[in-house]
Amino acid sequence: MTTFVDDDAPVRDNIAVLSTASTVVENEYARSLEEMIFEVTTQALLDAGLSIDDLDGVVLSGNDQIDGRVISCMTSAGPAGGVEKDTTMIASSSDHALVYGYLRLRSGQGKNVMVVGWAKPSESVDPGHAELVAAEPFLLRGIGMNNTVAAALQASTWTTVEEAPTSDLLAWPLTTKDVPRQADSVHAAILAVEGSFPENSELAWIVDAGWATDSYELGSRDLANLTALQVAAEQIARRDTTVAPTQWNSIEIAGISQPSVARSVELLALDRGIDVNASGSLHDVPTSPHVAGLSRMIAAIRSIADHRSAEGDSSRRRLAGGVGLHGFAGQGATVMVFSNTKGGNA
Amino acid sequence: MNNVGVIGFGQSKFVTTRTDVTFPELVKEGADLALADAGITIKEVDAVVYPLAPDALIGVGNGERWVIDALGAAGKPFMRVNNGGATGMSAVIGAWTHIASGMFDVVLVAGADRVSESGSAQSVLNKMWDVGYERPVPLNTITMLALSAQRYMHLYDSDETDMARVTVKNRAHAARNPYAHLRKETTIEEVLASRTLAWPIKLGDACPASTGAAGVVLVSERYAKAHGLQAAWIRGIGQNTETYWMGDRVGQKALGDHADADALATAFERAYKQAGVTNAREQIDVAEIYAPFSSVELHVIEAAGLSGKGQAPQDLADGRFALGDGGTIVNPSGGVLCANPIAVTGTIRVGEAANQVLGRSGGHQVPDARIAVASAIGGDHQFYSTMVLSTDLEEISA
Repeated sequence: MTTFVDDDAPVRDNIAVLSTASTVVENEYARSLEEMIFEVTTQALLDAGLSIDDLDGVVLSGNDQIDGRVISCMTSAGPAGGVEKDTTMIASSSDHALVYGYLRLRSGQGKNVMVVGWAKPSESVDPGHAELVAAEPFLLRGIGMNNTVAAALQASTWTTVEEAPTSDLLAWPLTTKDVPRQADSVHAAILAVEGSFPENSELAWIVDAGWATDSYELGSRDLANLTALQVAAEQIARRDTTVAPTQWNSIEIAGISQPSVARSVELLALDRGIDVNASGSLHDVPTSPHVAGLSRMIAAIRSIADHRSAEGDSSRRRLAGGVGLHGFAGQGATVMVFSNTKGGNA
Repeated sequence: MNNVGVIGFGQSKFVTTRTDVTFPELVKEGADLALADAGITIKEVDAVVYPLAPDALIGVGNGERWVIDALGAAGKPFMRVNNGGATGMSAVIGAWTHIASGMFDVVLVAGADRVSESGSAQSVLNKMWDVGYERPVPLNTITMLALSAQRYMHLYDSDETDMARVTVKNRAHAARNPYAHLRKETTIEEVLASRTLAWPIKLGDACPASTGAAGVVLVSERYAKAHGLQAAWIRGIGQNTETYWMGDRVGQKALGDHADADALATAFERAYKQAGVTNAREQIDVAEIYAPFSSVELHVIEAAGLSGKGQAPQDLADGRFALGDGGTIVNPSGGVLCANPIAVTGTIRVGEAANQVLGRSGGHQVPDARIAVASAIGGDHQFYSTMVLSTDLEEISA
């Protein structure tokens, strides 16, 4: 039997990403969600050079309301390779699932783990209603609160009447191109500890992770300042200033809206020359709110791998940040840092 | 790896309905009770792991976001676990993971559920199954486990009296536990005479739909030592996952027999291996195991290695597992059969096990308990969590 927890090992901070795989289709009619999950996880295993028998654990992330299932991990655990495995669903967001995979390996639970996040809003009877029921029933639900309304309230704090667009408005001051475009999507990443895979076969190393949440009550929050994002980034900077956002070469941000992406860049004090959402804008890269964070984390990982492919192995450290914002107006935030060189800081 | 211990456990008195609190207020109750028992405030907590199973039971999607303020988690690292009925223990394993990773010293797990107030819990739970094949059966947690109970009776030549004995034992235990939902002692005759829900499961064999809250506080060894805190040490953890499909648990090509809990046995083995438990029957003093129906306790006892396969009914008939017996005591709190607030049921198993090894269980204390095992089950008998706790960090197999 596999030893799942290595009692004798010190905390392991050299954790790499071996592979990633994704499928994104605006409206997938040909494949069920389970088929999409199976295909993506199979591809991730193939790309990592692993078989399902090699895998020590699976971390899942789905949303019951979007999936229309009462416990969405039940149907998804099998196609994600979770049967006969240590399988845990982190339901709060898919970027939390990636963080949890990282924590699992740091804590000595196995040598590798697969993280899988999914959302298939096209199978939902009414994705808008799925968002509406995330509003508490006493006040917010009655006024029709959803992700778009919350994002618009937030964006209004950064917008003057003179600056606001006058056409194609979705919810003032946001236009349809300001909010994330919806799609059916599944993303997977396989993480592993140093020594368990061939040297230099990794896509990127995980340097650190910070995550935080803010008050649920919109009226209790400073919507303009994305407090959860700032707290999450500060956790990383406090541990090691050399990997703080100011040092990053690129960033992928799963913003609530395009204005929130711009505001995140300001708040994180990013170098003006760095690549921001080089994989595409929120409108160009469709996703679903539940998996948007994982999608952008994977884009950040790929940016490290692509840079190494283009430039060759270099001892010069390159850092890519991934940001996931989730909940109404970014109530929660996750920040992860990836690099071409190993060495975690947490 | 960092050692991790439980320094606080709080739970409310479980009832059918609470009209005095909103859901966030109920969650706050669980957090406050756990923190008070640990002797710390939310300021000392580094991160929060929140257990919540189906959102549909509370009627709010991503219900974890609604309770952030009640938990005092704003500004802190926070995540939610949902492994169905195993959630409450998977969340504790999540908290263990946070601390063992070396990134945190103090993690709170707290939550609540109000199962009886969800309209129709069994109707909600029917929606766990796929639309096309198994939902129309109609499967729910009762009918699914009735099929398992029938299979167990067939395979091991047991009967409804064997199931009733489990209820009688657990109700006698719950009578000593002021937090249990069902505290009235019962008899085999009363259980057998209760109305049938889905044969062979009768009302007397079933858990209540409970409302209430619970929480635990976990700390690193260095934090416990620095603050002179007594902890129940988590010595081993194990999780495993079964096939989703009922149809894959019967017939010649079955992945596992629906009578047994082989995948759970694997989860127990993983926790035992890490903890150094080599003979559960001899080394485990207390078992707080997840069994929402009397029939389930039979095969969980066996999966935990406390009885051979098919032997649990005879062992129960011989008086084993009950308070007062000299061997392993099973569910001295009364167990899930006497209180089942789904989201935190697994958390309570850990808390009860921790209290036992710390000698803090009051009227249902097992004398001289040093080693305890706890377990939880989620989904359609699909997600399994186990944990071994002890009074100290000395070798268990010695």
